[in-house]
Amino acid sequence: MDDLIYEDGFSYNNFLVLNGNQSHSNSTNTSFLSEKDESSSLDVLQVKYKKANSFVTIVDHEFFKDLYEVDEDAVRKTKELFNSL
Amino acid sequence: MVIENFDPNHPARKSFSCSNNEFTVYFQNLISKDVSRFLCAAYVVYDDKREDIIGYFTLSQHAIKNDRLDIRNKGTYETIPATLLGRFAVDKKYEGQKYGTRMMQKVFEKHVSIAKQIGAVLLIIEPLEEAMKFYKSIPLIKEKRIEGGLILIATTSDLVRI
Repeated sequence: MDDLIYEDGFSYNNFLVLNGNQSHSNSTNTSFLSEKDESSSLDVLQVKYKKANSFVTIVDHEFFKDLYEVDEDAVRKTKELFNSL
Repeated sequence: MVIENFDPNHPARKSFSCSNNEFTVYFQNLISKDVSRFLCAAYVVYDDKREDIIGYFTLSQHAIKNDRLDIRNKGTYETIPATLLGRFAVDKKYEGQKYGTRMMQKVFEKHVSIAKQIGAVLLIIEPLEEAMKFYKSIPLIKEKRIEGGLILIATTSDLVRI
């Protein structure tokens, strides 16, 4: 998921900005996660992030939630369907 | 069941017959042109002896504008890369024997392979009305409302876990 890492200064309105050490305030609708929050949220989104002074990881939370949140129940049922063949 | 790239010279091609006449005619007479023009890749599923054709399906690169999807946030990407399942048909002789489901498993495998090579967020199906029941029998295939109607999608994030 390295392609989700943008150079600092990117306009991230409406994005969830994940950065353990820095704040970015050029957005009116930006959430900042603390260190302890990151793992749980990232687990949900299945996004890995890279920490670096000049980089932040920007995750369009809702967008990725729709297209990337795994439907575990559907995965399980589909596996069962295929295994039954 | 054996899956191979489309072979225009296979002797069973002309006897293939599915319940949708358009898909039958397409396979018997038209598919070669689309394949030779790289409009789609076609895959044929044979019986184990490769003597008879069970079914076929076609895949193409595709993209859908994100504002056609009812996702809650439109994100940074104006278009979502995808794979299109263009045609998918099972010969009438093999209907009701789960071959369609087994073929969908192959479609999923192909899609995931493609997604890993060139990127594809979704597998998209624009189904015929009579095929909706079949597609809906596969839990990972979901309805998605777009302008002008419904499409079916499966996300690569789900499919890589199959």
